[in-house]
Amino acid sequence: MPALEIQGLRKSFADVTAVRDVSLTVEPGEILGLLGPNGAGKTTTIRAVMGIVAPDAGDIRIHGQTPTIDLRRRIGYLPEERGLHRGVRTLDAVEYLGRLKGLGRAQARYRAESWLGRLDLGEATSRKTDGLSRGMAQKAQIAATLLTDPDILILDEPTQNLDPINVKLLLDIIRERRDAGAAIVISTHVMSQVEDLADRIHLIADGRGVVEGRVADVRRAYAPNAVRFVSPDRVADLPGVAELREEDGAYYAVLADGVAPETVLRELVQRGVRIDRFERALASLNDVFIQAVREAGHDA
Amino acid sequence: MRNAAVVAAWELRRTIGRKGFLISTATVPVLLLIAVLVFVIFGDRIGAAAAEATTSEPADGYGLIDQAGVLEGRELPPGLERFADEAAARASLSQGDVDGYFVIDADYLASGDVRYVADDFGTFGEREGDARRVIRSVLLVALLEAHVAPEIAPRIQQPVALHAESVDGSPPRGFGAGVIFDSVVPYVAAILFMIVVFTSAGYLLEGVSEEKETRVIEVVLSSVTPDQLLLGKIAGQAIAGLTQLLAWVLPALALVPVLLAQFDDLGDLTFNLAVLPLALAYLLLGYLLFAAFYATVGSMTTTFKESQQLAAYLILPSIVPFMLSAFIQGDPDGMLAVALSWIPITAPVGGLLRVAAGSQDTLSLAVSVGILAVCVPIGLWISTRVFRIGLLVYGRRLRLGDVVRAVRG
Repeated sequence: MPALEIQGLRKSFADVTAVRDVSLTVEPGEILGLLGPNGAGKTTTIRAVMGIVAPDAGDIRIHGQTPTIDLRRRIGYLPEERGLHRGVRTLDAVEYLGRLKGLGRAQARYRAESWLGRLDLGEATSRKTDGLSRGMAQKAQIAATLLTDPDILILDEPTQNLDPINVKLLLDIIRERRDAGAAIVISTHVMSQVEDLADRIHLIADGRGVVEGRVADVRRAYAPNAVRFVSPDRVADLPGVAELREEDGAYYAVLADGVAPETVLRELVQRGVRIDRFERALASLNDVFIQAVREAGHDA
Repeated sequence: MRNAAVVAAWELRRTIGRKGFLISTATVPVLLLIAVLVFVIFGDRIGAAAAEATTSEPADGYGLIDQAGVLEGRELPPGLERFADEAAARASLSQGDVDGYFVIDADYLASGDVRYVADDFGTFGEREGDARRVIRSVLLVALLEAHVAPEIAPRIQQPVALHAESVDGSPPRGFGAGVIFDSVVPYVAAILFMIVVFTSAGYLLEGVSEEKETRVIEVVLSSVTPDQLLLGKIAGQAIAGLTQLLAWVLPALALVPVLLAQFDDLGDLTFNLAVLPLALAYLLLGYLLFAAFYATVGSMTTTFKESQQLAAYLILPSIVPFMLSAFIQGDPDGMLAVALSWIPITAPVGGLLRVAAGSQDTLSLAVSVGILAVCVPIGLWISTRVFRIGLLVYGRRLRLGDVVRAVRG
């Protein structure tokens, strides 16, 4: 049973339709990259899941059940628009958010201390939230999100404001949670992180889901007719290759229409070119994003 | 309910931890304590100075009709003139020969009753106080010299139970000491209302605005419903306000009697507790009404500063009754006073001031409380509707059209 399931979601605000038709599922132990240009409807979709906005149509299920406030409290939610209460100790601010999630006072305090420590904020627990840097505040919010060891995580731009060390720390925690069986939704514009982290993607444009599938499958589906190979030899003038360029220590060959990669590989072997690696070039998620959004006619 | 309780506890904890709250809460008991200490230590000098200040114009004299015969055969001190009957004394009073006259009741030795009849008691009751001191002194001396029996001793301790009345028999106009203390509870309640309601509702406004401004609201709303959040905030601030009120009232209950005991004329006065339930009703309903207003404003605006500006439009009309308190005092059951106690936004302060001014129109006061009691749930309902919509609108203030749409659902 999917941990989270959305079917035919639709939501309008006055005369603006934010979400036209979004359907997606996230299984336990899976990371879904929720992608889309600005204004595509990602945040509204997430807010609908969290019950912050009421959908006009469609069905949302959490662990197969109609969402209630108690079910939603089991979701670890890090919104894009986020912050902490001012003028209070960091530990108290995080503990309060844990209390709202249903934890008892002692448990919330213990877990807040524990997660703040894990996120290298142990020394900042007694510091007022106003005195935290943006990155530290971001980590405190992440601690609050993880406080209940939620089995569903929804993270909207989770690495914003974080330095590379903390990005790595957070990504490791996300993987850890996935391995522990949590269903995770990550919405971000950092495509390299999605490529690195996500099992599947769901790309929304103009309020509709336009691309959905496993990351490798999507990259393959959107791949150009091209190959990438690594060779210590000098290579030039390959028949059936419309364009050949060197890129990141490898050759990138765009094939002419109707030419298969096997043809190029056979030619290289016949020439006696030494080949360390040969693969069909996949589209980057960046390329997928741009192409899919263009095809959807979204005005970002 | 648990969620609302968690929110309430958080709001309470944050509010009572604020420096401003702690200072304002401590100020009243500390000032009261200082007043007590000052009067206990320097009471005699202050009393003499006050007496001097309030008797700026010497009295022409007083008339005396001694129906009990306790002063018979005694030479009266200067300024006190004996009359054979009340008609003669009244004639002298009307001619301006005396400021007033005393009638020592025939049953005086048993009752201590002395009537004081005058047409001017002074703006603050100071002329009544002067008269009280004169007759008290004369009677005390006479009783002591007559070697009264021990059962009369209480009369020596407190020889006069003065019942002031005007020439035409109506209650004395102006603020006599008794009148002041009959009005103290509602007046104090009116002032406390201003402080507690605007402080508590102000903190609520600040809390709502801050959660919007810092964007923490979205996380909060993923765990509690807007209604639970609003309920928790209102309850938390109400408890904080009540805590502040108790921190003022409890020390006052202990210290005010000590303070009153420093004054001969006030020691036996009591508060008019009958008006307390009415004062509390205005306090509670007023807070809930303004909490609803402020929560609405907080959710409509984008920053705390902006919400304060908008809230000022609510504060100004609410304090209009204070600006017009002289009119309310002069005629607590007049059209203006009644209207101010019926208009919801002015009703809490207006109603309290009417009670303070001695309104006798129980029906119109009941209508005033009833109007508030009806408006509070309506206000809270509107507030929750706007609250739900407004909390997540960032970057712009809700327009009137948005509010109307929110209310319509």
